[in-house]
Amino acid sequence: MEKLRFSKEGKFRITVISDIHWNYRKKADSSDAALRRRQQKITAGLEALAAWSEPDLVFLGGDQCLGADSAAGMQAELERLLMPVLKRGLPWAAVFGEGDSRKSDALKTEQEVYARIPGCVSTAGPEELPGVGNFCIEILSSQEDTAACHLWGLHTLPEDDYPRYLHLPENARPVLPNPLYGGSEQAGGLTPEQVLWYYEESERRERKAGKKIPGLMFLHHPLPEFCAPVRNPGECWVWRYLAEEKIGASELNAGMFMACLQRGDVKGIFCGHDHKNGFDSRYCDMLLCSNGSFGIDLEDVPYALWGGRVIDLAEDGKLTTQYIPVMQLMDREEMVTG
Amino acid sequence: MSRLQFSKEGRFRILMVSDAHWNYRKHVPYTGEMYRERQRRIVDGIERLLAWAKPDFVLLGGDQCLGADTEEEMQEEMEKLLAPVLKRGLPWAAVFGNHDREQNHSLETEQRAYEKIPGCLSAAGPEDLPGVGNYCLEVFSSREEGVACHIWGLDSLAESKRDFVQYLNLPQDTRFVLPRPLHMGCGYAGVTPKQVFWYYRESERREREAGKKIPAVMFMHIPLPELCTTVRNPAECNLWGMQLEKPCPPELNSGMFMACLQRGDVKGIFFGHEHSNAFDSEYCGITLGYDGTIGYDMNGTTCYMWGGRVIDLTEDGGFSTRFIPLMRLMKLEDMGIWGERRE
Repeated sequence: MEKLRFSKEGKFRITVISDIHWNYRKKADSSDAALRRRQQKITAGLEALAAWSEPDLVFLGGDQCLGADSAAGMQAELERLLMPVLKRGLPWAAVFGEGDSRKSDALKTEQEVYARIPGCVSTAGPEELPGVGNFCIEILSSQEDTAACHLWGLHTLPEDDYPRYLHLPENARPVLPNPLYGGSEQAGGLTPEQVLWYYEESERRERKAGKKIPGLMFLHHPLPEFCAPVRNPGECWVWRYLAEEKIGASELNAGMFMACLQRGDVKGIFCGHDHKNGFDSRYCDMLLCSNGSFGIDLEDVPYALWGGRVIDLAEDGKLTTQYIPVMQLMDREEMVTG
Repeated sequence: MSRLQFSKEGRFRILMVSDAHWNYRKHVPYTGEMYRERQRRIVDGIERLLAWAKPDFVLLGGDQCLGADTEEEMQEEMEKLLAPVLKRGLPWAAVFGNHDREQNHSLETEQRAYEKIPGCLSAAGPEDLPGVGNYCLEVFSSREEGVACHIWGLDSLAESKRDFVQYLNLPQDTRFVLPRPLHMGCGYAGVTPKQVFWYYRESERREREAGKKIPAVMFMHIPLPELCTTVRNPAECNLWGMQLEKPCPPELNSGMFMACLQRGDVKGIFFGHEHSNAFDSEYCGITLGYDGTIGYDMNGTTCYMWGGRVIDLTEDGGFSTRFIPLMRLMKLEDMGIWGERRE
């Protein structure tokens, strides 16, 4: 697997795209031709974003939804989707969303397919953890072969997986009529085992390195704490692009936000899932960012939210991020013809 | 140290009494006689609860607030408060509350004073954990050697502005409570991730050692955020009992509830802290319950909340609980000024 490294100038840029829903067919026209046109738009958008942002890594934020059953079919679809990335020989990583599959076994196959495609740096992660894609990627220092930054990816499980992983009673209903957080039936989250894995792995890496290593965390679903900025824009907004839907966070809170605070290494948490939320915010000195969606022509999503996110890391730990609407980067003709 | 064990019939009963606020003065002047009368009423309340419930073990749910400066005085005051427990030779344990920290001594000193009193089973707990009083007690099986149940006690600390800043190493000016809060917008602290992970790993270790999962109950002073879910959904959560104030959990959720779910051993979690909540409720198969208050004649508290909580464990993992208002054990005219009819 290839190594990620800060540039000589001590910089590293990540471009995030979330919620592509590659196989999504619009209700109004569900023909194959319409799907192909939509996919062409996505690839054209990714081409424009990759050309403009010139990232060192591309991160897929879940709900790729390739829509193929066989490994060969999945690989073909993903290679089509990632064409602008592969053409440039860029490394890339991905976390999974509940739209990719609600079954871990299917995701294992999908992860194996991912791993076969050049540039893939994300991994399935420890066998004993719930879900597929719990990992920590190192970005090496420009000077030496030691990690200068960590990229944590975690698989937020579909909420209907909780009965299995938490051994909930049959009739347990985590989402009640008057919810505490997002209250969404579909919203998934982490389990305590995943939080504990992050915590202990982060401690272990700090001991090994002899210093705390700054990190970013990528999840498909927002954590419950993402409700704080949406409820308190005046106090928490750093920069608002659009926040049009309520936060699709799990009703059960596994404590990941507080674990990150306690470890003190993660500087920002990035999520997808909510197609109509694209914002940057801060709570308890933690950057909480929602990625919008890169799947154009999803129902009800304004074109203005079609975009990705650029994250700029500096080797000294500095972090800046900006949501980038794709339509600012290309003309209508490019979009239509691909 | 005394040993906790299920009875021959496979039963074990815990009585929880909370928020005694032993040194509380309702108003100024609160004369020496009124002060002593209040303390007499507290002891009488514990006596009546013990006589009725006949528990095997007593748990103090925090905010004892002994109001003594030296270890010796503390021991003396605690022995006065616990007189009915000590008279019966019962084992007991305690968790600390937010107000226990406002006294003129450290909790370490208070814990040392507790440990000198017969029957005390609670311990300060691992040095590297935040707070004082993070422990796991074992209740042994009636028939064979081996542990049949665990009683977890945790220190839920006090103020987020002080304790979360200190233990999570956050900037001094961190704003935990925002105008539109995640939970109820209270500035209290709660258990921290380190304590959650300690419980998780310790519970796993004990399961491995025993070769089976050991059912448990858990006690802490300040409530968990999940209480906000149950009070918002009383019918769905099978809520029963008085809820006269909003739960006041910390704004940050360290995931203790979910850790208990995943471990699958804790059947019920019980809290003190709020004097006007004495209900129990269920969420995702775990019982979340408040003890009322044993502290007599306090501001904002009525005689309905005066009492204790009984938790019945059976050796096969069964579990039930109810709050016992002292009103059920005495007539209005015996309740002193709380029973006085007001024109």
